[in-house]
Amino acid sequence: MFLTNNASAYFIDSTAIKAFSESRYFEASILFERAIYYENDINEIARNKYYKALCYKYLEDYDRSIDELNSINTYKTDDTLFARIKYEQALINYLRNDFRQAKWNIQELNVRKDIKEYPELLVVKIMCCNSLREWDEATSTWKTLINNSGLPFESMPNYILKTDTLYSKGNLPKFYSDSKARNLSRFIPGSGQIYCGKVFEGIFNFLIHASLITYSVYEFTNQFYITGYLAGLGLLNKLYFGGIHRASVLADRKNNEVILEFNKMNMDLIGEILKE
Amino acid sequence: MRITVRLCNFLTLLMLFGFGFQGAINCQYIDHCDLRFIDHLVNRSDYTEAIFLIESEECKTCKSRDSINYYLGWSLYSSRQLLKSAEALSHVSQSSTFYNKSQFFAAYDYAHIGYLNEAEKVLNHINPLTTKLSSLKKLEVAGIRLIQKDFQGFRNTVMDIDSNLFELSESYIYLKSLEKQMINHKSKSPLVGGLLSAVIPGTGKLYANKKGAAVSSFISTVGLGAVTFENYRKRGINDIRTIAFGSVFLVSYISGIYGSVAAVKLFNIEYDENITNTILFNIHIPLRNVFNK
Repeated sequence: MFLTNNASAYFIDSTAIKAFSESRYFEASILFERAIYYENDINEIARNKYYKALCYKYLEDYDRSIDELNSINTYKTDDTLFARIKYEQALINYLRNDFRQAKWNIQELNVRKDIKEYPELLVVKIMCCNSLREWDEATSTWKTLINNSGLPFESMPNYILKTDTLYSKGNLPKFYSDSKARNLSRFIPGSGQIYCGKVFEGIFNFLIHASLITYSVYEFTNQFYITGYLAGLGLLNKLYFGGIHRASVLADRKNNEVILEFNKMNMDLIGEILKE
Repeated sequence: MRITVRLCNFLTLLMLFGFGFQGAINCQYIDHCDLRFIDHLVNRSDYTEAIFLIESEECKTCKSRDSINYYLGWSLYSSRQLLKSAEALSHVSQSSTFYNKSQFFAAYDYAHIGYLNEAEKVLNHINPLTTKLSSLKKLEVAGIRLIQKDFQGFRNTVMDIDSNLFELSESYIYLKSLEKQMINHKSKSPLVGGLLSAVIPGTGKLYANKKGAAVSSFISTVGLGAVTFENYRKRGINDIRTIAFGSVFLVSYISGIYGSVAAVKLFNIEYDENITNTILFNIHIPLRNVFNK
């Protein structure tokens, strides 16, 4: 009743590819699974698993996508498929903010093939190095990318110069220290927020603290000890610790923005190379 | 010559037949409802995918309705869509090998979503052929009686259960101890909770077993009371600050009383829910033990 021969598996495979090309990724993922289920050939299984992982990637289900890619037996796969699998693993791990694992995936490909042949992998590696703040490795990867990008020989020095400028000390992204933001807010309420670039928020925070302290002192001097302590300092206590926490959250958010901005500058340079 | 022509015709027919047959299988392979593959998806826990295939056009015309209903029901049950699961599972007919499992799980689904009468109806339709299934049916009915707080009904049903069956014994013992616990339990009074908070702020919440909320309510209400008193004593009743702090204190005091009444009511609801969940858990374990070996 149920066929397991190659002809039938091929038939399912073609419907899966059709669904995939029509962007019906959920349906395609099921059809690829069906092809995997009826397939005996290890390479065909690997190929279908790869496409199934792509379906999950387009559905933005990165966890399932990486699980599917990790389940592929790459021992006997050809080099082209192996490189594509490693590229997708690296890319998805990058999208999941697992930069170390993404770099490891690229390293795995390097064991079998020279990654110089795969510019798209070099791009992912650059992004990972930037996120991990490994500037020297990012610069050397950039140079490898330029040398292997097929650019005219005469324009290569120009791009190498641009890369050096991009990664020069003055141009590197400046990160916001989490502990510095916290300590600033600890000693002068609101200053941690100003340090993270939220000037108005910092000033507002400082003014609220100042008002509450003034109110407490005013009540104490008028011998309203309970009012001064509970209504003034009690409220101040809550705001004070909340302000410290807020400064830390802002520093973290700002660091993500900084690295995204720097990666965007990298992508602009890649765009220039692609144009040429 | 004639023999050769006949032989050629025969071979041509054979080839045509062969290709046609292969083509038919291939078409069937694509068009028909692939139950074996659906089973594979269910075993992989790919329930959304299994449901998608079962609800596709290919499976709507499939003649194996029992298998379709079983896989649909099981996938929905695993995806926590219990009402739909119960409806699908209860449609599995008696002739199916999945019949007993489907009916028992349909009853469990109904019980889980609070449709206790439907659950009992489904269980009453089951005609158990073995002692084990008969005891399992009684245990499920007993569980439902316990949820309904029908203690006499529970005792009458639980009497005939074969407690030596290892699949049921643990749950059997636990359900009996739950019955005792439920009989001895006394619900807390929301009125007492409210009165306690009116006398000493926060104590109503302590009565409702919410220690953190009790301490916080006590500190904030007493603190605001102290601030109001200080302002009243030194600035007088007509001072705007006395009125402002007094209003905040009043809001805190009244909301504390209301909060205590609500907390006690919530405590009673949580207790009942907790008991219901424990009963459901204990009638679920034997189902797993019997059918998912």
